[in-house]
Amino acid sequence: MWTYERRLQYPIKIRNTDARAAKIIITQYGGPDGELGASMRYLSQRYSMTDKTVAGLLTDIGTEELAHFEMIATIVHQLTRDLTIEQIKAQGFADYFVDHTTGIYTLAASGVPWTATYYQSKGDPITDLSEDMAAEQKARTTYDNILRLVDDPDIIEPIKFLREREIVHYQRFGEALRRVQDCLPSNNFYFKNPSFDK
Amino acid sequence: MSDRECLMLAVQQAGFTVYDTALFLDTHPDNTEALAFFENAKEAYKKARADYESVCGPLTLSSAGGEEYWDWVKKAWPWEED
Repeated sequence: MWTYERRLQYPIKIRNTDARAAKIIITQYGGPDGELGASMRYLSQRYSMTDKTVAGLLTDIGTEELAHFEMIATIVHQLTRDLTIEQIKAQGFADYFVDHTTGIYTLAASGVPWTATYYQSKGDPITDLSEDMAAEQKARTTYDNILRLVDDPDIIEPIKFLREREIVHYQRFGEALRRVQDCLPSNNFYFKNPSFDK
Repeated sequence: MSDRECLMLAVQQAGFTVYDTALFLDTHPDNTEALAFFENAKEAYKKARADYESVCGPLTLSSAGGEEYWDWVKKAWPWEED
């Protein structure tokens, strides 16, 4: 069960339209290292976790990723909602506009729509937590690249917040992986699936 | 910053403290210092939410309602401004 809170996790108030920035940032909505994939990954992986604390962490981070998913949509929406047709043509937004107008859709900056192949749920805690740590670093790199490409402080502040969350999540997943490793039996140290091969 | 933005910022700050501490507790469930910190953070969050809701309307369905008009849909949604 989930409850919606009628608020953003971090304030967003973007004054200037910028279709070019929107087309880059939307990659964190529906791209390969975006927030939708992150949320689906963690919420799906919970069920095969052998450690209750790790299942809790995946629940809570998977939920926070949905709040980030909403933040990215808000940034893209505020960057595009007041675009004129002249700006749409001049700022390279016509290819998005023809399919979605200024609606929000899950796709990567390259235009490829979101796909479940962006993540794995392997049913093995060590495998999954290793993927999770890599995923947080990939998202952090993406945010670093976004910060290299945008210069509006109204965009930069929330993007910096999201970048920092990737680092904190990486740290928590590192601790979670260590907890799982510490509980591995001596006859199954990186050898079998601790969730299935009991 | 408008009154609504000030009240919302207080909710966002207190809510962040609660959430980030919760993630820490997920991997350190026996850390008594963090547990005590969480208790204080939770109280501050409760107060910030009550302050916001008394002026600006419900944050969750559990505090929504109204006598003549459903207040859940009255105010701007989070992705818009007032």
